[in-house]
Amino acid sequence: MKQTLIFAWRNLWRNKRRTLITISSIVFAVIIASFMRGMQLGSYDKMLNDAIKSTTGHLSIMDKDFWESKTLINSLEYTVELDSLIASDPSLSIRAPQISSGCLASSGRNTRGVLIMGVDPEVEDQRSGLKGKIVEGAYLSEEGSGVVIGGMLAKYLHLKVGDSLVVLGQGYMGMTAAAELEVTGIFDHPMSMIDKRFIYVNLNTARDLFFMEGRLTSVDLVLKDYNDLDVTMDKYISALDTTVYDVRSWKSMNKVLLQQIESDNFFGIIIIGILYLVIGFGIFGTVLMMVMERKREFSVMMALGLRPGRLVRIVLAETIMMGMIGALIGLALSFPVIYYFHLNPIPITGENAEFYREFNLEPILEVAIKPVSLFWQFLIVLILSIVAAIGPVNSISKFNFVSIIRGRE
Amino acid sequence: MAVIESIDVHKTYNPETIPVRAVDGISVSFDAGEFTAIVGPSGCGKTTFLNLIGGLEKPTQGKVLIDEKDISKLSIREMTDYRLHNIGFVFQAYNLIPVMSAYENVAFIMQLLKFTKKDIAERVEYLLRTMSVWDKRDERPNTLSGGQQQRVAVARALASKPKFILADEPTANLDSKSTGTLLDLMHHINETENTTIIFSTHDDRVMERARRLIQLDDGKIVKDEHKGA
Repeated sequence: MKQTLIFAWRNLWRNKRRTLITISSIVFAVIIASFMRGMQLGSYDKMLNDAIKSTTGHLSIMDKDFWESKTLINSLEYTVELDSLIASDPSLSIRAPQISSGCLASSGRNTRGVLIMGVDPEVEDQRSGLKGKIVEGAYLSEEGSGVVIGGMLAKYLHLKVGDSLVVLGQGYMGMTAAAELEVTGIFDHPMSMIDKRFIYVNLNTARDLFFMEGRLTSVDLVLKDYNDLDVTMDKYISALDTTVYDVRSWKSMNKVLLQQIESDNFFGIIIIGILYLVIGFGIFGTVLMMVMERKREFSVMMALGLRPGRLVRIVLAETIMMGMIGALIGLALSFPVIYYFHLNPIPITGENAEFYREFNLEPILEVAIKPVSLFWQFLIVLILSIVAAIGPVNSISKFNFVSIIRGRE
Repeated sequence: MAVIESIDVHKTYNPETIPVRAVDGISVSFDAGEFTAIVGPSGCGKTTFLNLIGGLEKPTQGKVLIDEKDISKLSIREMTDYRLHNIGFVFQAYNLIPVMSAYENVAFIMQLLKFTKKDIAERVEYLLRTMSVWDKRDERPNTLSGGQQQRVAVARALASKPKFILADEPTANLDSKSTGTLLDLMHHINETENTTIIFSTHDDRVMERARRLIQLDDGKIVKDEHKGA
């Protein structure tokens, strides 16, 4: 084995320029693929954090009929058992009880359909960082009946901090929900839907407004580790009475986003696949040359008693070494780039930024550091090297070595 | 006792299109310790005959017996192992492995045969000293002269202590001095190790030193002369 590796290593550097060109192409491909994949995965993380964490959560527990008919009649009773089940779950990072209901918000002559979000102020800040987005006034408090609204809504309703707005909607069991609420804070949210349409109040205010004592519309759950999604969901489905409760993952609550991620992921993989295919042909060409220019040498070795299998191992070792060197250098060079852009996301401006906001996404391009993804790049290059070598090494066993030694081929 | 025996050996290339009879019914035997030259004009079948008794090619007809075993019936894998264990080859173009040093080229075959490190070290040193290239042991083939390369090639052929050495025009690319040195060394090995050595050649200097001359023409033996006889 050691002899094979030494032999392969030396052979690799017989034609330094060719080997370096091939390695460079692998390095280039790995850097591009790692960075592209990092951007893709970063954008998915961003989507999961922005759109999922701050809206539906990874999981949501609600009444079994609420998803189909989002009226407060289909709200759930927040029992002690349910509270203790959620509170004792170590896999959760955020447990967000909430009351949400559509209303009309009015100020002066302007009225707009809005979503009243009754939230625990501290929990809401954890999940969406809402407190940090306040640009005027103050954030919600546990007490009081103040509201915080987005800058776009404030502009539309001509409201400033200290002004009042009137909300009118339907409460639990069809009762009329109406109140005059004071604007205590205005936030600037990157997601235009939230900035235009959301009014945040604390849970007590929402309960009073909608006559929802002891009830919630849902409890949104954010996981510490997103990979636990399926396991955690199964756990709640088995622990709760599914004739009363519905446990939903974000995938069923935000199908548009899921489809967007899946299609983007698919096309991303296709592009990386094409990139690697091109590199694969490069490796194939190099290995083919490496074999063909050594036909005579291999023939002599076979004449001396070396089995073709041993030669195949030598050429495979050369190819794998070349692939590994390229992949490792590529990863080593791409890591600082990925790390830099991970810390310094690329801001998106202009129309593209608006497009992002339309999808409730913050307009930045984040690059994720995913060791598994980087390992995959390494593995792909390794597999590619082996696959590219199959044809050329297969030809070794078909050499007519006597003819080659005698110079007839 | 015959180490190698060919019985009515034929080799025909392209039998179904334009048949070329390279070897046409050769029956001959070689005893242990022989120093034989197979001579004849180009295309007379010298190299093909060496390939047949060396297990590089199979005869289209006839038998090649090595120690009374018919090697023409061996599988490709068995033939490969047979060559590794029994035969040393020396080629006209040296054919050393370019990425290995002189030492490593000689040690290579012994490593394949799983000799111990100690045995390899002793044998390679002995052979390279005998071939007067010990001082070149760490050099790669491209830095050696033709004569030096061929001496390393002979050392490689002898490394595994083969039953016999087949040398296909080993002096064709060498000058007189290098040829003389090489022949002296091969004679020495022939005598000290009792290794059977069979050359194919049309070099007069080799013919002069050979103790037996077999002359081929059109794939047939036309003369078989034991000089000492």
